[in-house]
Amino acid sequence: MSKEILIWVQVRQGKLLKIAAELAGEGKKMCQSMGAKLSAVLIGKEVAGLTGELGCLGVEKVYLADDASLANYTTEPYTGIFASIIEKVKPVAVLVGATFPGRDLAARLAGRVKGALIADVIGMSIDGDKISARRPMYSGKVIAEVGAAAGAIPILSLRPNVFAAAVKGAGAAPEVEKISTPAARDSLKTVCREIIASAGAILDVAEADIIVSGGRGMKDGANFKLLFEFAKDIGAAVGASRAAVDSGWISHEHQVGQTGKAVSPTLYIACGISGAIQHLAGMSSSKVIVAINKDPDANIFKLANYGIVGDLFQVLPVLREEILKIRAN
Amino acid sequence: MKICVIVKRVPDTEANIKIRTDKPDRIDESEISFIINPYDEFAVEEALKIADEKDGETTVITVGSKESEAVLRHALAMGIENAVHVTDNEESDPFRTAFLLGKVINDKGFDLILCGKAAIDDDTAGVGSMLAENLGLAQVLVVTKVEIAGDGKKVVCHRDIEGGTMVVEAPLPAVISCQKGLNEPRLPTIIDIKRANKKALETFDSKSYLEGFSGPRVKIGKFTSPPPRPVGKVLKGDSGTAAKELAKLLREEAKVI
Repeated sequence: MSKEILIWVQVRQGKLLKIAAELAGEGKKMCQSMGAKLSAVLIGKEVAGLTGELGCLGVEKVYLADDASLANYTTEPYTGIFASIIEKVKPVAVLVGATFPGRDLAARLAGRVKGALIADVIGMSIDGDKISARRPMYSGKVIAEVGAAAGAIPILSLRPNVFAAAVKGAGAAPEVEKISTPAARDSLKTVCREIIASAGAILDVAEADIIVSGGRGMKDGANFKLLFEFAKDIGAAVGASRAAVDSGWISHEHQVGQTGKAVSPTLYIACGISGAIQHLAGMSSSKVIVAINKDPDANIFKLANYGIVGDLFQVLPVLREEILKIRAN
Repeated sequence: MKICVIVKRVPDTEANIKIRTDKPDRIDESEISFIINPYDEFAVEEALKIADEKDGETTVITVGSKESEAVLRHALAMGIENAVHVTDNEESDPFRTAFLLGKVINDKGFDLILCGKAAIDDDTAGVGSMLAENLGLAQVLVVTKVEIAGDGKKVVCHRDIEGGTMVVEAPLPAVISCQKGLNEPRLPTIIDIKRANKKALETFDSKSYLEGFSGPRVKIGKFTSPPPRPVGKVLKGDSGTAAKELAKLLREEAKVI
């Protein structure tokens, strides 16, 4: 039997998430080192039409479970379907995105197939058949090298925005194998009743390329309007420090840091954030960091690629205008 | 209603983490203080709230070294009734912890098992799911609202997903992992703490529960410090000038906009 790497290509509102292309990109690289075939697991409702796009991303085979009951992710039956494929294929690795559903699935799967759960991976190296993953621990204060114990299938969740996406090619249509949904025990059946989109948020911080983030220097919850407007015009997500969240200025899903989300955007703009160690832990792997703060001694400047010592309420509107002008040209 | 809370001892969020020079797969614990995992506090608080409404009995469990007793005492001080300490000196590993918890919890008849959405040290977020799997229960992770429904036969939760909230219904018993936003954990008073310190704990040695354990699934190699960030530029001039310069640099030098 040929070696296979399985990637979970997550679908939202009928479209593949960006992370799917990132998993395909990294998966393909791993396949080349390990002499394996890249296969995708596609689960959802009316998703069969996405197999062509997966072919363009370099996927050679698709395991397809397409059913009205699979419209939204719930732990069962997705785990049941995925586990049945793993039992059959015995892949050399399983890759999922480190999204909320991805981490849910990876952990449950690892429990079921007794796999090696390696979460929130930000780097990978392959030596023969051995995978060594790099992942942050202590919220990024330390990077650990983690591998699977002998006999355990590595189940890795890859942090969004870190790995290079597969370049879309012509791509042959992949082989498609239909998978039926195994019956779940009653004790495991959960139901998605409803999905409520969060108010005001354009993008989630965990997935955004650009994050504009506010801290104590925002002075008041109402001032976050400035960040939301900036985010809307530039195409960014709004982040916040723990101080801002704990003051009740903005809801917890925006919090970046050790008790919030760990993020790796291309551009992180920290406004009025002093740079407490627990905040830095969550955003220090951003590609480019901008700090805007009145206090020239603020810790955040030690991490920043670009710093402005000044009043964020004056800097941010000009920055927004300038970026829009540059983009218009 | 019988409610169980799983807790873990972790380094304080403000701790500077240093890698040990003699053992590069361990951190130097000599200068850091330890706390109850912040997400576990939401789980403790939620257990207390539900127990209050449903006339429930609460139990807190941890797996870990002798020092982990402190986090059990903290949960007791918050108001949890019973505490179970599974003493284990191995480096924490979600697969092992979930195995031990599964054995200890197996016949205790809990209706609800609460834990934090992740421990802030390891951040694998594996124990809740693996424990649910070992016990054959449903899981709902990263939850910001919990409502017991259907005469205590099911639970309706709000869970975080990217860009919103999913309302999920699960049968009980179930494992639920708690996220910030669920509640405001209470602060124990000095009297609470004194009372909690006198309480008896149930203690088990992990060795008595390891039969059938097939060993850890992951191998942690060495730790490294995150790569240093490049030395940055501080832009001069008034706010307007600096902002214009910044936009230009983000485009031409950093190429990120």
